[in-house]
Amino acid sequence: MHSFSAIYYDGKTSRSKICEVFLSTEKLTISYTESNEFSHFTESIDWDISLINQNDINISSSKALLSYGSFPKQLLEVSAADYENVYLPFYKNHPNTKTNYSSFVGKKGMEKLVIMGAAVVAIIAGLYFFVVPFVAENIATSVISPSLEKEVGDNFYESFIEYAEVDTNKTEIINRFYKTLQFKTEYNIRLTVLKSNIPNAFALPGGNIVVHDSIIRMMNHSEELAALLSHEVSHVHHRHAIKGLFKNLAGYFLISLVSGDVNGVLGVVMSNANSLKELQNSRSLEQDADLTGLELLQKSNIDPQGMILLFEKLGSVSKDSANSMLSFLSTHPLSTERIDYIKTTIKQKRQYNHQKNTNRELIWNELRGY
Amino acid sequence: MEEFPKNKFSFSGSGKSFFGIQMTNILLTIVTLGFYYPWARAATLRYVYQETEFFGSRFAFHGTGKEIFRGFIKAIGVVIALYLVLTLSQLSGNLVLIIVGTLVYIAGLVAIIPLVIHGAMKYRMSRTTWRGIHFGYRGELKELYKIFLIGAFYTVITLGIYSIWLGINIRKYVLSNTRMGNVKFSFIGEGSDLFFVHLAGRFLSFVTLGIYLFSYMRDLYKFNVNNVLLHQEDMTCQLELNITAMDVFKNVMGNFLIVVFTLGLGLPWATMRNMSFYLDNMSVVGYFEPDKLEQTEDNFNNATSDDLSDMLDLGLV
Repeated sequence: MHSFSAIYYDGKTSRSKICEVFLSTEKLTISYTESNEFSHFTESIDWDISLINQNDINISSSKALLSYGSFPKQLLEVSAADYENVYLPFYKNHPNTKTNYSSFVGKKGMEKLVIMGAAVVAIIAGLYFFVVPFVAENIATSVISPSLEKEVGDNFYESFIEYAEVDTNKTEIINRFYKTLQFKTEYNIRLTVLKSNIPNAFALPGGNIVVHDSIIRMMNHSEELAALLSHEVSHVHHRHAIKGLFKNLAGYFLISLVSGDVNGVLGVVMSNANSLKELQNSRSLEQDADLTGLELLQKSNIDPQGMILLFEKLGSVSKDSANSMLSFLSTHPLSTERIDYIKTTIKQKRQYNHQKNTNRELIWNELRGY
Repeated sequence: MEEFPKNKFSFSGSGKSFFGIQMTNILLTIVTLGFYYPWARAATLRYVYQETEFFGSRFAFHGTGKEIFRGFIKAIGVVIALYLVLTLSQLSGNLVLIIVGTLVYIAGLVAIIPLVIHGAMKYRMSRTTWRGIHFGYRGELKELYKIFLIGAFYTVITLGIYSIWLGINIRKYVLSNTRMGNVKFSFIGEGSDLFFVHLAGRFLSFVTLGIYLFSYMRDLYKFNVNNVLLHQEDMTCQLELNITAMDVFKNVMGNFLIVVFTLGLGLPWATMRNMSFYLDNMSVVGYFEPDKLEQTEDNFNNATSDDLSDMLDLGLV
């Protein structure tokens, strides 16, 4: 006879009734003793096996709760030992006894847990570092059409330029200068010179490039400006802004997916980890722009040494103003490292004749105010 | 003085079991691009409930992934719609549109909060049982909106200070409409007490360079728990959380170290440790008849908000 004792709740009150449970193929019989003023009598209740609800009962827990029927549900509180040694073996093949999770905490649980833990870490890392950036980049370039990109970039440019001081004279000159470079790109490049003491230049999605006048003042040769513009045009050409944005968003999405229930410490650690990776991302984008820039210079027969001069100057500025820790974390690759790979690339490239363009030199002198 | 009987809660969840559940959840959530999340959530709640014991009997969560999925889809819809309004208006570059879009976004978020609390309470309580007796939430959405909007107005004109009273008013309303069979609840904490806890806590934490922070946390936990009353017919008893600042310190630091030194993999252990910390130190003080609860609540069938509250992480319920 398959039986064990348990506690029964009838679903109407919370009164616990100590009962004996008898198992048979089609049904399960619960029998308990009730008493009133006059006598003791035995009540018995049958549970149709097919109406027992499937529960994700964890065997590691010391008690198992079986529930029956629909609202209000009757309950049986069974000790884990009886559940595991009597109930489960008896109804082995019944769908109600299948649980989703108990298999992971069986007797050889620890091994499985370690393997699962490692698998989860490997999958998440793989997704985070390889799959998500790749997919995000492709989605960015296929979903965002160049015209939408231009619209977004132009809107951003309009709202940004309201708060900046534009040097209209130099803006006009630098656009003439750019035309002499004859870089090939399908984007309509528009340059703006801003008055600012911070040497900087950046490209917006869709073709706007902003150059601070102080970076022009640092330059002594037209080739340096040509190199800077080749770098920024490459950003526009490769659609780096949109790609970077999508990559970062996707990274955040994955992190919040994984850390869905996490708040506090881990959440903060994780979001910082993502911003470190953002830096890494944008560094590789910068290197991309440098190398494409060199190709553009070559196609237009401009001396690539301008790029080396430019970065040597920018490097010395960042040494003066910021400490080395900051420049390490800055979005641009380390200057010396950068100059090294630019030098190597130039050496590897087929040598070409570069000559000064007289018209360009005139415009350059005009820009520098000579 | 008469000594009241004291009955403890207890929590017996194990990190190992919970790790198995969480790893399965994470794997399936990733593989299904997030769509497994409702099932993961149901599994987590089921486990946590079934390991929580009160008067020798376990709680149970009967909600299913399918039910939560319905709420989850609606939640995603609402969140995407609000973000779309915000993003599109920002991208338009038109100042009027930007302002209108931002206002719609903020108003949407604010308007959704009472709905989320209401729906989450209704769903979660209807799916929670103890000894087969269903919990239930009988609050009216209209009343909750009234409390919330009036409180939100005062919060704005008092530069945020009133938010403490707003939180308390919502808690009072929600708890007084919560049932556990024929047992009723109430919350007797007052905004002024909580205000003082915050004031003293922040000031002393600042003066002691953070050492008082753990006493501050202890006071907050105690305020939230010890002001809850249970009413059973003509009997009343009170929840009691019995912890010291040192206990809080050990709990927080222990969990922090577990998570950091396992690079996050120990999180399930930390979560279980945290649950044990609260529940093992919680008891019911006063007369309570565990055998005399009656089934009073109807079946309720709507999972709209259980998940919205989770996504917005309100921490109110």
